[in-house]
Amino acid sequence: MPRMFMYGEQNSSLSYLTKLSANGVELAEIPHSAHFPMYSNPVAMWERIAEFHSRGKPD
Amino acid sequence: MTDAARGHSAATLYEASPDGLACDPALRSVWPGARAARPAFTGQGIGGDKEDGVSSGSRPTSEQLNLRVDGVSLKVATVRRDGELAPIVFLHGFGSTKEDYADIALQPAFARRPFLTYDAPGCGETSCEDLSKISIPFLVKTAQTVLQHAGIRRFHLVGHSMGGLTALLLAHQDPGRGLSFVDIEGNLAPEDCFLSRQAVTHPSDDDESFFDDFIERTRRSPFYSTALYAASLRHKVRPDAVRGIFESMVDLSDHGDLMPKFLSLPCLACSCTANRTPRCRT
Repeated sequence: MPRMFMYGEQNSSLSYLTKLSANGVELAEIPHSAHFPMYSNPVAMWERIAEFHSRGKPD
Repeated sequence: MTDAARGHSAATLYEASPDGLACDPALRSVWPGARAARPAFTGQGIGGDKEDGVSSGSRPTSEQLNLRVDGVSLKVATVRRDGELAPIVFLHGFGSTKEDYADIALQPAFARRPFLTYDAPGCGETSCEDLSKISIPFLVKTAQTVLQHAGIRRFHLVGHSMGGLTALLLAHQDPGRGLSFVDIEGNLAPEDCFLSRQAVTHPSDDDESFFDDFIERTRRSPFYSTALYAASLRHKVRPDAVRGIFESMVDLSDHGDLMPKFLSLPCLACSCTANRTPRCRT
């Protein structure tokens, strides 16, 4: 399944990010954000979700 | 404990009109630059005026669903937009509501994309007959029941935190239905319980007292938007639902093998598993 893991830049120290990337999970770091990108940076959040969906052909 | 339904007004969001600048004259008089034209959502009572669960047109509709999960009666507050494509199902995090994703109705990139989002039991406008029954497994069953009621068989998932964990277990339990998954800091490991583990590190026999202290600690946290988040917690969450949610989140994060579950979600479109084909982008 195409998967993206989205996280805020303040949480970029999460220990498993490298493991996710190595296993095919797309990483999306959201600037000016921690755990709540929908509040801190919704523009970037929607852009990354839209880009992720636009590249797949999952329908 | 019975959860009394809250009386929020329904249609509060607006979308751009097809002709761009049309606007309610009353709004224009007080806000000359206003571009909003009409409610983005239309409200429907239980049962509504839809047939076979399919609404006409592309405007989102808000609807209350009468459901039973594990013998518990729920009135689940939903917002959805139907269409031909597979919908995105949004599952909000603890302390949030379906409105976190309401702006999808205003996003041009998703203009043709159906979606469904709802308030989890214990949160927002959804009412729950027995708040003590709420846990992550209960939220997974709720998601399955909502999807069944909505007639949604295949879907894209977007889940945040508690909702990301719910989405992961939903996709894991029924791997033939999820088409993609955007996990917004959903729990994958013990380190992810920076909110929920407070049920263990700062225990209290009194749910109200625990929640008050939790809100204050969150408000003082030096991270983006935590003060904003804390300010709305009392409005969005029932204190009696917190313990069951947090304890199950901690248990699953510590012992639920979440990372292997996430990495092994199957890729439907190419009949592979994602961890065998790191660059699979279907």
